[in-house]
Amino acid sequence: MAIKYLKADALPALLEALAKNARVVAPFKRDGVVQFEPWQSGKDVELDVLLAKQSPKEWVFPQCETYLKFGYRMEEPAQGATAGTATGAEGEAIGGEGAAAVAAGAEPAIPHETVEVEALNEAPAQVIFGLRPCDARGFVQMDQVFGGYGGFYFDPLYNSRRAVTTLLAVTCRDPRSTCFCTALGGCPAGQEGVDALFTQVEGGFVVEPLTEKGEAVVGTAGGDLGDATEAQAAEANAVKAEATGKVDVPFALEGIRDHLHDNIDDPGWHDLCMRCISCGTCTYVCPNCYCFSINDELVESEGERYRVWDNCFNPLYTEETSGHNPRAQKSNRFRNRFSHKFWYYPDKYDSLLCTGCGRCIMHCPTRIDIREVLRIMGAAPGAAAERAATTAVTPAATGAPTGAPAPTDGKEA
Amino acid sequence: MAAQGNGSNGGIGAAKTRLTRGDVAAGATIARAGKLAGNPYLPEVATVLEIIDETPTIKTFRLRFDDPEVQKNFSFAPGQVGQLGIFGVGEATFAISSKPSEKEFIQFSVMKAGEVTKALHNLSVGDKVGVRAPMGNGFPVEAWKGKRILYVLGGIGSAALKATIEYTLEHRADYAGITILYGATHPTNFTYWYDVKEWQKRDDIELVLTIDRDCEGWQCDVGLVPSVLERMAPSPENTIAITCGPPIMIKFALISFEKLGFTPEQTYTTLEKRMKCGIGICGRCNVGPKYVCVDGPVFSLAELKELPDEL
Amino acid sequence: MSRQDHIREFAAKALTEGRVDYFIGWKQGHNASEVVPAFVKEAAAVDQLVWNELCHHNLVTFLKRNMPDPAGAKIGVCVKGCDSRTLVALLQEELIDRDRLYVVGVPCDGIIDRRRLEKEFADEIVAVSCSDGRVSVATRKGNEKEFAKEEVLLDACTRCRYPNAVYADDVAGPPVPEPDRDGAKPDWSDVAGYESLSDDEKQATLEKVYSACVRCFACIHVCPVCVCWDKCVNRSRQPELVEQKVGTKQKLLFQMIHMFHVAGRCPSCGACDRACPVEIPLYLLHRKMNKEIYDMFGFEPGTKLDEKPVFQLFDVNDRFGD
Repeated sequence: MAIKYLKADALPALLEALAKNARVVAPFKRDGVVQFEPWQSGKDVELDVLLAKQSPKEWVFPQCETYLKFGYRMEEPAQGATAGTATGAEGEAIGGEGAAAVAAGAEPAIPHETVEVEALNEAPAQVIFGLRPCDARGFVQMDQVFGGYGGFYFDPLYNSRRAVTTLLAVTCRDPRSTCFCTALGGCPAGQEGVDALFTQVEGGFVVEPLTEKGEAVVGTAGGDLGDATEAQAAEANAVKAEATGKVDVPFALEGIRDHLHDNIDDPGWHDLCMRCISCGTCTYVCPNCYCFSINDELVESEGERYRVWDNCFNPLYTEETSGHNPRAQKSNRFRNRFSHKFWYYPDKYDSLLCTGCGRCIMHCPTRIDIREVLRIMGAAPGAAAERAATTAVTPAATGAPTGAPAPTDGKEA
Repeated sequence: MAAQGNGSNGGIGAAKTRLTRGDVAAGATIARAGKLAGNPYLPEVATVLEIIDETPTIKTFRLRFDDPEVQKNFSFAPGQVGQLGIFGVGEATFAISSKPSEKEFIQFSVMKAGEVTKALHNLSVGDKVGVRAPMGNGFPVEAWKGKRILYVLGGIGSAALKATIEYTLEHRADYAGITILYGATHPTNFTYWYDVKEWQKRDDIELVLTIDRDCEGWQCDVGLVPSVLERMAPSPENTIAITCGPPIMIKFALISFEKLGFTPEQTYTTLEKRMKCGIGICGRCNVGPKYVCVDGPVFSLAELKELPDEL
Repeated sequence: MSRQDHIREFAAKALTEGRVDYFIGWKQGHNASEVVPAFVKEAAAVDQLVWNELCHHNLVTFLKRNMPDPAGAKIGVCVKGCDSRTLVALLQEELIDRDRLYVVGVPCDGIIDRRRLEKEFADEIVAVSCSDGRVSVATRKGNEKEFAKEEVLLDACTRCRYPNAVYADDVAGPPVPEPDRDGAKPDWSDVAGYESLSDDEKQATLEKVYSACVRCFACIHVCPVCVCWDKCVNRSRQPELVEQKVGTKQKLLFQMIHMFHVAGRCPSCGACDRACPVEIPLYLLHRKMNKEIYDMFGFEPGTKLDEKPVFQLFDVNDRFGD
């Protein structure tokens, strides 16, 4: 597919054109906080800040989604029907095992309550612009669980939206020190899940349509998108190469799954989770933590059932009615998140559940570092203990960016 | 009874309820898949036909799907579960305790414990509920043909094994022997007492009933299930041992099986976890890499030993 | 001897003598601009402990119900002035066992507001250091900038009335000068803007700031005096008192419940504000609540060990405002 060039000042016009047929979502800064929000004419897309606080996950998998509405109604019974079979379309007598049941229900016909149930599924066409390749890859990884891969259930709520979502990613020019996409097989200019990749070059973007959806975007832009010159394409390639070189590789992925398995009872989990406060920040900023809860609300006779993000750090997440909690200890819950991403999920779906965006490190109230966790618990048993000791003394042992000042010691009083 | 479960991921009733990777690659759509796969979150509305007071805290609900097609086509494998819920209160997972051959109703037994079960206990005949079933893997009853089956159950654990017991009793000739050891705290706490009395009449099975402490008029065994089990000392040879009951009973029953020489491969139990979606997505019922709702609830002890200590 | 050296010495001594199972202090995070809570189990490892202007975490959080692990552990902990007030609030209500604690007070002359620094750069901050009242900041791309310390302090620090721990077993170095508390009322000028709004404007403001909430519960989990934990009405299922839906109404209700529930115990340490991943100005609203309590009862939460929390007392002379 032909490589295109879009002048920076033509971006609003492109988004405007896209917004005619779809909801356009992009990162915007509001009160100093960058989040993905619906685009409106006149709003400036924020691309200087590398990562929005949260990934754009919620636009395909909303934090809260009502999927059933129901209402209880009083209904007069059909003439001659019994309470037990009044609503059934068939009126034939039931024999054998069921006879006792019918006898029990065979009371005089009286008005009875019935319930109307309606399934909801909103899926407006949408374009997400300005997400990063790691965010796009997050969707691809989540597609496994929601798509029914590996012989499991197909989730119509997620997939209906996913099918009508176009992902226009922007190459990361300046990866952060918390980025580690390349360690997981990603890249600041990664194409996985991306419909068209925008790379910022002098004066604008080099645009690479990668899928039919991406081509459609090029079609929408019309005259604003010219062919990129060779120099522009070369510049984009240089930007990508330079960015890729800036991403740290804090651990070797190979063997992590097996080592997590072998270290399952290692006391290192306990030590690492000490500073965890059991909140859900890491999971809610994550591009592919997808666990959720389901709740009902009923007001008078009208109600709804909705699913809402939940997280495995919440002590109530697994607590059973009896009060028994299979993951009562914080260390159990802590272990679950990392093991899920690098062991359970890969075993089930042949895919990691982490793209290396680093948001969980950036936003954790106590800056728990997934790289550190994997370096220690993803190391061979024995080596784990050794690495834990090393890490305790020099927390910034790896991941220190080139050119960053040396860590300073505590100051004098 | 339609296709039998075999304990693996594919072991499920006649309705096609899951898409495989191949199905998705071949462009499977909602219309092509079974009803549950079309929108696995959408419950089928069912009506309460009959409510049986089993014990002071357990009620059995016999339900009939409002859609006659659904009722007609409904089938499940012994050991499979379903999500039973009340619209406006919520859903919870229960074992399907009707006989797999039962075509007229679907049955769940519910112990009063939390919000959903309390609301279920307040139901009357004719009330509406939502059911998503069948789910989970079920017991590999096909693979067990020719073996002796030893059931060890206590309290509400009987609900999880009821369908399987009834299935093997109906197919008695397929199995070399059937032994049922059933314990309760008190004679009033046996569920399915009306069926237990039928079992007592059969001379082709061994039935041992026990209560924790002796009480007037009781004529069967007395003692905790694991100790009665050790006294019975069943031979592990060509035998499958299945246990379900309160967690503490399961724990000690498993220890007794081991003492009696049962290998982890021939010992089975069913797990209970807090579940929400029931379809392997929402994430909370995992024990390590296994999801109890889709990979279970039936596990062999050999499988459990591979999992983290999060039961 | 620096305060940091004092902390290390106290920690090493307590660990060596077996008075504590572990000692909670601060250590450097993944780069030189981050400090994180440190849990030290052995005297040999005390050198990781630091004390500097980035040590914002209120470590009392790790003492509250369900946090200490193992449950009966003897714990050493460092507290700044504001942190010590939350500790006192817990002690006043007997929510924590004083006999299992060893408290090192750290006199504090202000903590840097890292978020304020972040707003100065599009680029990632990788190092922050402070000396002689100047704060130097370096970014990943090599940008460097210097700020006067007073300009980049946390709001809580600019109005601090308790810079020294109000309760401690040992103190890391000489105390810093105390402000004249008796002569001067607290400075509430930070909430004046909010107070000047009409009721409708206040409602609109609250809805606007709280609509950003993602209900991650970092604010309540990090809050040292928010102790209901798995019994919190905001997420309890049995009974379900607050809808788990994520609408503005529910977010506002959740935050109001939190604010009212910690009223009289919360000294506005600001831990919730700093933990919030979407930067909701939680601190400001807790300050407003504290002002109300001060105006009504002349009460400053967590300042006197032998005092009862204000909402556990009834006094016919309470003024309930002027």
